[in-house]
Amino acid sequence: MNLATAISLVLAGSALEGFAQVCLKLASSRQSGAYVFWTGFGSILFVLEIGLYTRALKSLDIAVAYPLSALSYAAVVIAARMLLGEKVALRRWLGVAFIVAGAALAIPE
Amino acid sequence: MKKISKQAWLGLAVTVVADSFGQIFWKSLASQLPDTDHIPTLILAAAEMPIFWILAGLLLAQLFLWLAVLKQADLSFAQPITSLSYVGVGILSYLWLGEIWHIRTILSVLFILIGVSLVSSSSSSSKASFPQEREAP
Repeated sequence: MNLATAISLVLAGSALEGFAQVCLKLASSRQSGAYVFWTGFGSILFVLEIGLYTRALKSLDIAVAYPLSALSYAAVVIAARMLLGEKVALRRWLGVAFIVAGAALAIPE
Repeated sequence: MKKISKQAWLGLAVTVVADSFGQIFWKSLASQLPDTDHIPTLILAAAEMPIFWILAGLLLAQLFLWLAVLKQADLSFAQPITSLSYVGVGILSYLWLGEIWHIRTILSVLFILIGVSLVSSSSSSSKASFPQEREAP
């Protein structure tokens, strides 16, 4: 697996975590059947994320993969804004910008 | 903010250490997996490795520990502290795996620590409004 593919897997895993956290948030406000559905769906996304990250780790140094996986923090904020309609303060967007910049620095030249 | 007990501090410290070691175990596991994209083969191969079960146990223990910590500390306080595992992983991957962290990678971790602090420390400005719960105009 080449470097670009491995990095793409980590990015996809981070995006999946964003969606998974949204599912858990949706579950938290539901009961019975809907609670089970969103919890189960979120858990499946987490398992997929673990699979993608594990596959990527085979090709990437942890010094690259782990900082890159911090993009999941940004993915959660973006997913919460877009899918849940949460208001995101400027300070939080600034944090997202720092995380994205930090993850970009982790990518080898 | 809740007053943080000694137990919560200890829980946070253990969480950071467990997360750091977990990442090293995860890398070791991934390195030993066969070179194939056939998912059942990968799962079976992983299940035969002791390190897989150590990692699974560690992740599960970490989950329960995290839930216990959150009972005693605010999420906005606890979450940035756990990002110290980026530093822990850097030290352990150098010592155990011989990975070299360049200035660029160290800068990357610094940016992430600042970013996580900013994301976690800003207060929630609204309750989540779920799309299906919004009122029709």
